[in-house]
Amino acid sequence: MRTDFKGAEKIMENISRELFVPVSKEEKQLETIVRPSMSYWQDAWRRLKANKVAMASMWAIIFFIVLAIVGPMVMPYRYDEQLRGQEALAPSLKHLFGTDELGRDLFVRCLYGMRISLSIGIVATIINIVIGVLYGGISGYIGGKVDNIMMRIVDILYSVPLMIYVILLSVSLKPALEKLFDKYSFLSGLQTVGAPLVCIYIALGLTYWISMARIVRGEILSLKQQEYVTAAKTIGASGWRILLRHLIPNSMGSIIVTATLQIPSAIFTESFLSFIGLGVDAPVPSLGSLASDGIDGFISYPYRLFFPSLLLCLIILAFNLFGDGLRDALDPKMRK
Amino acid sequence: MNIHTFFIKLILKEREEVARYILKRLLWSAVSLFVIITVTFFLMRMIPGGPFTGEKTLPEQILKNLNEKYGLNQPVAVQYVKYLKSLLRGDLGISMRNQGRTVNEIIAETFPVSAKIGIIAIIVSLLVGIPLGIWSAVNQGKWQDNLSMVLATIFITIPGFVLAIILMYIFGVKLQLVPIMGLDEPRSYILPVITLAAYPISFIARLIRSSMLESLSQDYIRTARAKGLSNFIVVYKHALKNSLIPVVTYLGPLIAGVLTGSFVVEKIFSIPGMGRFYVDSISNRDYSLVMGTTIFYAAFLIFMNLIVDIIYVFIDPRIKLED
Repeated sequence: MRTDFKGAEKIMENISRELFVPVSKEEKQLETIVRPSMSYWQDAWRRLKANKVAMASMWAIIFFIVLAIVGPMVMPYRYDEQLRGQEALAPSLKHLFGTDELGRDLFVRCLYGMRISLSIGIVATIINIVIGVLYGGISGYIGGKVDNIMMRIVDILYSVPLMIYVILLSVSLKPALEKLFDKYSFLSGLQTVGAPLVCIYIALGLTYWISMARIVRGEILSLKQQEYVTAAKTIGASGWRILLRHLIPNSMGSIIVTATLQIPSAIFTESFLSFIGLGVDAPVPSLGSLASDGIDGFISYPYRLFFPSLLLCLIILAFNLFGDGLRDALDPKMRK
Repeated sequence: MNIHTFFIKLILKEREEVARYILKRLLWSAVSLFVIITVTFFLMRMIPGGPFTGEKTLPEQILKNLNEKYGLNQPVAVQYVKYLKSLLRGDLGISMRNQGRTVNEIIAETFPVSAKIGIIAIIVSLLVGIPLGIWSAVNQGKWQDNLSMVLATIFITIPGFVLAIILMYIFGVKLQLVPIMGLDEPRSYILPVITLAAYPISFIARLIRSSMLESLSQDYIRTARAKGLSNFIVVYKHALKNSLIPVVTYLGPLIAGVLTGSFVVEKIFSIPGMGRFYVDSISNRDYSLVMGTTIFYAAFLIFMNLIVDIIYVFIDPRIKLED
């Protein structure tokens, strides 16, 4: 040590004092290569903002949601109001999308249908998130035998297309729910939403969580190896706390992406159910039921199929494109 | 199936491992089937009132006799065991609304019709989707790529029944090129097949495009190019081979998708297939038929998934048999 020190002194002697000048401010700044620190979400938002398609679809989604909420309130007709003498009109300024054979304004019905369809997408997805995240989270965090059994159950459920379960649940839940609503008056709040709609919420919510559970489990499996989990464990955090406060928030990126992409598939499934006669009950419209109603008189009244289908496609498209953009923004590794 | 890897696996004494894997998959398929049968049975029993309390109320005595005939007056557990036993014999039960017809008869009559359209649709979607994806990947970023990806996005978005009606209107009603109902002549297959294949084509095209792009950026492709191989050989022999693997994984969902698609297509084009019968049985509340067809569909799909999984083992040498 000492000899080293002496050696250094010797070298120092050889360097003239003039070379030791304080660094100027500009020079100091040249050295700094750090950009202002950005959180994961700020970074993702920056990437998302740069993606024009995703931003356009985000605004489209906001527009659709506002339209679905405000539209039916400001229109002069109700969705189930039958205007005498104005049956089966073609689109005009008074009735933008025309009227159906019962004299109901199709524009209002489409707006209201959008409300129902969006609510199905969102409610079903919320149920999916709750079940899927907890199931996948618990399975991934505990690991071992429990994980094995839980994932086997998921595999078993997954071996049959979810649509079959949705159909089965819809067929069997609908009459059961209707009976339940008739029996217990305290459920009358739900009655206004309608048993078929509640049935679709439940049927979709109970089945589509499977892919969410798989994705969350995968995330948790890799995240639980991280140092901060060990750190949390050493200071005595409980398993639940680690799962809910550390692991799940850190896998939020893929949860959000999966959920966003599940909304259009729920809306899609609802339109399919409406088509095969398991959708919402008349007079409540959904975009799917409006489109499938439009099929009957399609040749004489093509606009009755056209408008609801177009809205349905636009909503599904917007959510799909936004979901793709979100995935690119939140998970740059996945980008191709 | 890749015969080459198959033999390598055999030579490397992996035969036992492969056999064990297949056996394990078989076992899990049986468990899956059992679960879906149980779920179906109890969900159907959840429906209040039973299958005979419909729109028109039957006289008490007839109702009692009917319940006795179908064993509905016994405890649920007994009914369940009875149902399992008859399923083991391959008996799916009797349709409650189509008098005197068994579910087996209905399936035997309608399934071949659906299968024919389904197989054609699957072949078409592979034959169109794969080249479209390659075309897109090879011309990445050019107009060809943009065009096919925009088309793929559009066809993924349109619900099947809307597409069916639009096609029917344009080609059947306006241009009168193809018949709009039934399956009487070869030409009448065109519209149902297009409707069924539209979504898979788009999906496969996107799948192939992204896996081709990944393959094309690999080192072995650079090596192949450096060796001076022609572009054609590099793309179609080297890159395509590995890019096809995701398509094999998609085969299971593809079959399932065509199957659920058939519900819509057969109803719209009035095709006497199994999908239409299924949808009709749902709206008629013919619970025994719903149950029988659901179980048949489940068994069919589980079997198909099993086959796809086994094929997959032979195609992709990198797959781990443990999982």
